[in-house]
Amino acid sequence: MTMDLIASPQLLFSALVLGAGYALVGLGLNLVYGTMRLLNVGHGDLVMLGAYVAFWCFALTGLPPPLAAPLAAALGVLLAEALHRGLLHRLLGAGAERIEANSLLVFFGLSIIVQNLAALAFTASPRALRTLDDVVHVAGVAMTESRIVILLVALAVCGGVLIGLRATVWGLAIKAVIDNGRAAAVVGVDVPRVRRLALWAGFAIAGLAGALLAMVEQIGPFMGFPYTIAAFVVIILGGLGRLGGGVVAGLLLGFVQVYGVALTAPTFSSMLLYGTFVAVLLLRPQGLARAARIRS
Amino acid sequence: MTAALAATGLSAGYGAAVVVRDVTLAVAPGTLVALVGSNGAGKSTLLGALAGLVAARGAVTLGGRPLDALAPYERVEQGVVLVPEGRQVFAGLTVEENLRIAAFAPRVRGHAARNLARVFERFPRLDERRDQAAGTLSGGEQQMLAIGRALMAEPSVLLLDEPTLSLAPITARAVFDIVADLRAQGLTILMAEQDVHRTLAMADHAYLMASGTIVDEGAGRALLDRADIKRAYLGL
Ligand SMILES: Nc1ncnc2c1ncn2[C@@H]1O[C@H](COP(=O)(O)OP(=O)(O)O)[C@@H](O)[C@H]1O
Ligand SMILES: [Mg+2]
Repeated sequence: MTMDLIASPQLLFSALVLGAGYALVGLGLNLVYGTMRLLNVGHGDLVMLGAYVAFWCFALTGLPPPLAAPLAAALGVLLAEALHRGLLHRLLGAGAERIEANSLLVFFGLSIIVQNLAALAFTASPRALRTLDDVVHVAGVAMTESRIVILLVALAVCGGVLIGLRATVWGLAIKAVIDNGRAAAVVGVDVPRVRRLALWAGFAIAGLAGALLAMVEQIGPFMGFPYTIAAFVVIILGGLGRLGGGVVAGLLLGFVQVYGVALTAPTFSSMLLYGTFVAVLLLRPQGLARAARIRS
Repeated sequence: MTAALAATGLSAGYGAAVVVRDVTLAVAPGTLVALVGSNGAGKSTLLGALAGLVAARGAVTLGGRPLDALAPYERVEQGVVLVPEGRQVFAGLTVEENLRIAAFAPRVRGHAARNLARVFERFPRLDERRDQAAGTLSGGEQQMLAIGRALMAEPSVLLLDEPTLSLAPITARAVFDIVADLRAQGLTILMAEQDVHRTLAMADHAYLMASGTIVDEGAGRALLDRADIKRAYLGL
């Protein structure tokens, strides 16, 4: 019976959808951490805010979440810019050694503030979006439209970003800054501008992901935390600056969680996520620190 | 004649620590100027200040135009390009990506394909390894890549910081040949180098640095023949 379950295409589809979501959220954090060494532990809160954008757009105007997603991305850009002007250029000026520790504390504080503001504004009670939940059958697999949309958009955005990084001069500049920021400045890259662009992109991607995931997740002020954890698993497992590796790691995490639940029980879902996080830190304890040292 | 690159009363350092004090130097167009001095004399700091990477006070001009207010990428746009100490290639990027990104400056962005072909022509080894990660290259190949990367930006003044550092003698010789070749083609070069003998022998002019200041200067060969310099720097 277990074998049947493992071989079921239904399960494969679930794992792909969950994994693609993680890959997308992780890609956003990878851009921000890679270019600026900012440990944004509030990354998942951008997912939460994006989810609320989708929720209210749908509730107030009937706009379907895939169309609200660009608005959520735009909100991400606005927040990135506000953060950059209000805080980051001061933080970035403080010197490279302290930036990781300082940013961790700053974002931890901001995360709590944002979560509580969201709870104040929207109440803490979870909400759900009922839309695009018609079931489509493809090759014997029952798929809701919403999951198909999440899978396709997430893969398209991840693929588009990876191609853009290879094929455009600004994309290559982002890769260069991730690899060695000082050398990037030496060869004539406008590093501050590239960092700002990556921050915009990272926040936009998180907001967009939130708007999509709102279709399948309970929407609440504290929904972001697991996504923050997932994003850190993605960048540690995938390797710093290896954005393609991160996408693979996100998919892998989806498989671990979905197949792990199938072999145990749904109550283990969170434990599988956090367990993977701890396991990744144990197995790659060098994790972020080592990757950062190699580049510096 | 206006110097290609000139510094007047330049002081530079890190945070509160002033490392380079009141340096005045000039690099005439088309010449190779050497910067020699023992470890810790401040050569890298001075080159970093000229490139805009190290905070500095004083005046830096390129062909008479002030550069002081410009960020590193803006100085590259003006033609001042540094090959940093320790090569600093993008280890995780391919050889070709390393070169392509060095055509970021708007002035040269349109010439990327042509310059890439020229760099590969000059360094066939890099062409053979164009899809290889730069971190997997040998030290000598990484140095060629670092120089090739700078050439992608079509420098009007090339700043070379210890290009033969930790290279095998035969590779170091190849690097000196490249520098001589660039000089022969009319490129203006300011080079810090450990191999004082070889550097002074080929330099048009040289500055001697100690404890963050310039203590002497002269034609390269003239310095080479001086007894005090032989004793202090050449171990003779
Ligand atoms: N990033 C830095 N921060 C603080 N001090 C530095 C830094 N880099 C170099 N120094 C100090 O500046 C002095 C000159 O160093 P450097 O310019 O590298 O000399 P050189 O290139 O001639 O060997 C040394 O005393 C060195 O310790
Ligand atoms: Mg040095």
